[in-house]
Amino acid sequence: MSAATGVSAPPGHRRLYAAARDEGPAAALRALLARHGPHALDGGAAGHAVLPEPAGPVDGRVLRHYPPPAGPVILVRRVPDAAPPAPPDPPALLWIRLGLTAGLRTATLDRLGERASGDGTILMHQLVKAQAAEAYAGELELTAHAASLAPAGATTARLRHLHSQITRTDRAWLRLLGAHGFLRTGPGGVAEVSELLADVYLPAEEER
Amino acid sequence: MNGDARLAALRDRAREWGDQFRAAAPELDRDPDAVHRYLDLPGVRHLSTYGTPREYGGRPLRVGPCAFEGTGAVEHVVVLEELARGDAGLTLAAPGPSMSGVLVDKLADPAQRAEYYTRIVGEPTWTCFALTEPGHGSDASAMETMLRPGADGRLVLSGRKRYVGNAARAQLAVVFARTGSGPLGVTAVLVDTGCAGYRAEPLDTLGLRGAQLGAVTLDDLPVEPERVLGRHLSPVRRGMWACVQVFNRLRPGVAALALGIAGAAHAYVVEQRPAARGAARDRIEELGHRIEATRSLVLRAAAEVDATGDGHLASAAKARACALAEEVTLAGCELLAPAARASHPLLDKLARDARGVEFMEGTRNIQHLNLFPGLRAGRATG
Repeated sequence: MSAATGVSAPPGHRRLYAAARDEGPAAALRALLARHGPHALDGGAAGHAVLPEPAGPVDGRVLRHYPPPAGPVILVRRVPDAAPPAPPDPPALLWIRLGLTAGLRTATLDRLGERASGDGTILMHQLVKAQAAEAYAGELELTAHAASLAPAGATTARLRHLHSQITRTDRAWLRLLGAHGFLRTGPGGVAEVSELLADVYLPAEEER
Repeated sequence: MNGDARLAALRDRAREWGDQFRAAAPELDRDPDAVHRYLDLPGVRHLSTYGTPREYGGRPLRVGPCAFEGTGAVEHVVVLEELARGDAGLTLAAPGPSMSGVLVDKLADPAQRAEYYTRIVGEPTWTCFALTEPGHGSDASAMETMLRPGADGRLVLSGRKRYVGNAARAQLAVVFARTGSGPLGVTAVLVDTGCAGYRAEPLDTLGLRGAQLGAVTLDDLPVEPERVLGRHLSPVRRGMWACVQVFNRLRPGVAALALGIAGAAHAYVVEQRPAARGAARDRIEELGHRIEATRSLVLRAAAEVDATGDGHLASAAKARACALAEEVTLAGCELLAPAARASHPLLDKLARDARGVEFMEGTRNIQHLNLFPGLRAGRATG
C-alpha cells in the first residue's frame, strides 16, 4: 500500500516500491536487478547506468559515487562500443522513485515532528502543515496516476511529466527539511539519486 | 556618468571576474581546499577586502572613471550575481568580511573595527557567521549557545552551531550567543578561531561545496569582554534588532547569488541548444524573461535596503530568486535531456548549488513570514 491512501503499487512492483521506501535506492536497484537480470540497468538513454554497489565487473567508466543512505550507488558511463541494451522497465523505475518519495515523506514528518518549536513541534506550524499537505496531495495524485497507467499509456511524454512532478514533490519535502535536506548523507542524498534515475533513464522530450 | 551606466560598467567588470570563477568551479566542487589556489583571482581579491572602510586600508574599486566604495547593497548585488554566474561556490569560499563584516559594520566599536579590518586587509582572512544551531535552525529566540561570566573576569562561550559557511577555514568568527532570556539576551562576539575551545568540521553537502558549510563546537571558549560586539550600545541595539538589520542587508546578496546560478544555467542551455525550436525555444525564452524580472526585484530590494534599511522587498527578492534558481536549473536538466546531469557536470553542479541558496538567511517560509507584515502595512509596494 502506498502513502496510506488505498492506492497500491501494482503487484509486480510492490516489492520495488517497498524496498525503495524502506531501504533506499541501492536496495531497490538490487531488487530490480534480481528480478530483471544483471543488465536491466544498463540501458540509460545516453549510455549511462546507475548501479548499486558492489556492481561486479562494470562495462564502462565510473563517473560518480553516491554514499549511503542513497547508496552505495555509482553512475557509470558505458563504453561507447558496447551493444545498446534495452531500456529498463519504465513502470519499475516510476515505482522505485515513488517509493523513494514515500521514504522522504516519512523522514521529513519524523524529523519535523521531533523538533521543538515554541510549545509544540515544527510540524504543527500552520504553514508547515499546509505545505506538507500540499506535497502529500501531489504524491497521492502521482501515485494514483501511475497506478492507472496501462502499458500502452506509458508514453514518453506521460512518463516525463510524472517524473518531473516526482522531482518537484521531493523538492517540496526537502525544503521543509531545511539545511538538513542539503546534506549528501541524509534524505537530500536519496532525492539526489532519485533525480539521477530519471535523468539517466528517461529519453529526450523531443527530437532535436 | 549616470547610475545605470556606472552599474553597467561594474557588471561588465564583475562578469569578467565571474568567467574566471567558472574555470575554477569543477575543481572547487571536488576539493573545497582548492580555494587556496585561487586567492589571486581579481574577483577573490575584491571579495577579500570588500567593504573595508578607507580608514582601515580599504580601497575603492575603480572601473574606468567610476569608484565603488563597496558600501552599498546595490553595488554588492551586481557583483555577487556576476560572480555567482561564474561559481557561487567560489564566491562563498573567498576570504573576506562577507556576512560577518555586515555585523561588524553595524555593531563594532572603534577598537573592534580596527582589529577586525586590520586582519582583513593584512592577509587573506576567512571569517564566518555562526548563528544557526542544530536543534533550532536560525531561530535566534530558541538559541542555546551561552555566553556566561567566567571565574577570571572573562566570559565563557559554549554551545554548538551548524551549517556555518567557511567554519573550518575561518580565522575570525562572529558567534551569536545568549546572555539571558528574551530578545535582549542575544548578543554576538568576535572569536579568534585559534583559541582553545573552537572546533569546526566540514559537512558533506550536496552543493555549494566550495563554501564548506561546517559544524562548530564551542567548548567553554574563553572570551575577553571587549570582544562582545556592540558592548558600547544598549542591549536593544545589539540583540535581535541587530540580527534583523544584518539579515535585511544580507538577503539581497543571497538573492543575487541565486540569480547568478539561474543565469548561469540559462546561459548554458542557450549555448547547448542554439537551434531550439517550438516549445523548447518558448520555454528557454520564458526562463530568460523570468530572470530579468527577478533581477529587477533584487535591484529594487537592494536599493530599498540602502535607502531605508527596510527588508520587506529583500525577503521577497530572496524567496523569488531562490525559487527561480531551482526552477531554471530543473528546467535546464529537462531541456538537455537525456542524461543532462550525467553528461553536463556544470549543469549538475548548478542544480545542486540551487538547492543550497534556499537555506541561506532563512528559507522561503521565513521570507514569506517576513514579507507578510509589509504586505499588510502596504510597505512592500511603497
